[in-house]
Amino acid sequence: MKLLAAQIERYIPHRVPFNFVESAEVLGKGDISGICSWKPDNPIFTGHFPDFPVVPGVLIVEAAAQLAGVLIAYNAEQRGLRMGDSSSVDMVGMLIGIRRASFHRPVLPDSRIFFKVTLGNALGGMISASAEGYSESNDKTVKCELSVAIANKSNLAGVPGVQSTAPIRTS
Amino acid sequence: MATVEQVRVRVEEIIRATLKLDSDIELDPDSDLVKEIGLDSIEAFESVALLHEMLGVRIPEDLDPKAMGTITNLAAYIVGKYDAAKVDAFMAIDVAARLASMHEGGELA
Repeated sequence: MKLLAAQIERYIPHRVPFNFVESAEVLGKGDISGICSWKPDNPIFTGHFPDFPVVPGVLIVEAAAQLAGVLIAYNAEQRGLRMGDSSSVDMVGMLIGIRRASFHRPVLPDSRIFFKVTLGNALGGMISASAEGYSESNDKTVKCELSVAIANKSNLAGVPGVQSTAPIRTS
Repeated sequence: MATVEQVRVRVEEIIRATLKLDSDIELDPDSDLVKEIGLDSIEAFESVALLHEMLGVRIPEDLDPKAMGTITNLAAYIVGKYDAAKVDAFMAIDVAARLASMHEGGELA
């Protein structure tokens, strides 16, 4: 299933200037590919950096997380559930962990990353994912492993894991 | 095949790695991981996910939450659920080396 920008907005709440997914293709229940890009007029480039605009690594990981969110919401929709797309939908995917990330070359304004994201372990509304991204010339650009939680927007204090129920205790 | 007691040591290593606890801090293997030891649900998920990655399996959809209650329960779950070959392979893993390879990364952009 191929998804263009307008369809992607159906699955995740991110909007300009923080929606980095240009298009995506659901390859299966656990796999999605997608193209992410950053327009030169994105305000982030005024500060990162004034004389050398480059996409911050954290935003590249965020782009991978957005693609994971698209797939999670797409899978939910297949089961008759809605999440992520607008103020009328209460459930949203939240990035809760980055286990590992490596950035192999700088990403410049207007360049695109071709991602492949694979969902991994899932438990209690939390899902791990791994992602690889390549440049238009097929050079390895990013690899990362992250976790996403499905959270209730109206009750963010109840996002799994936000609060520990007890201090670390040892015997 | 490894015993629950032996597997418990390996599970504790993984919990310690998740919590980044020093080795001289003792963990009670029978304390509730969330209510008593203090893992929040994200740490519990990371621990259980890491444990399954090291087992080379996905978290089963029917995983009994009680299995995640304590370090001893997790060890008993592993010994009860998986065959000897998988458990022995799990026991042979160098947790520190595996974690180091998982965390190695490149330069931050």
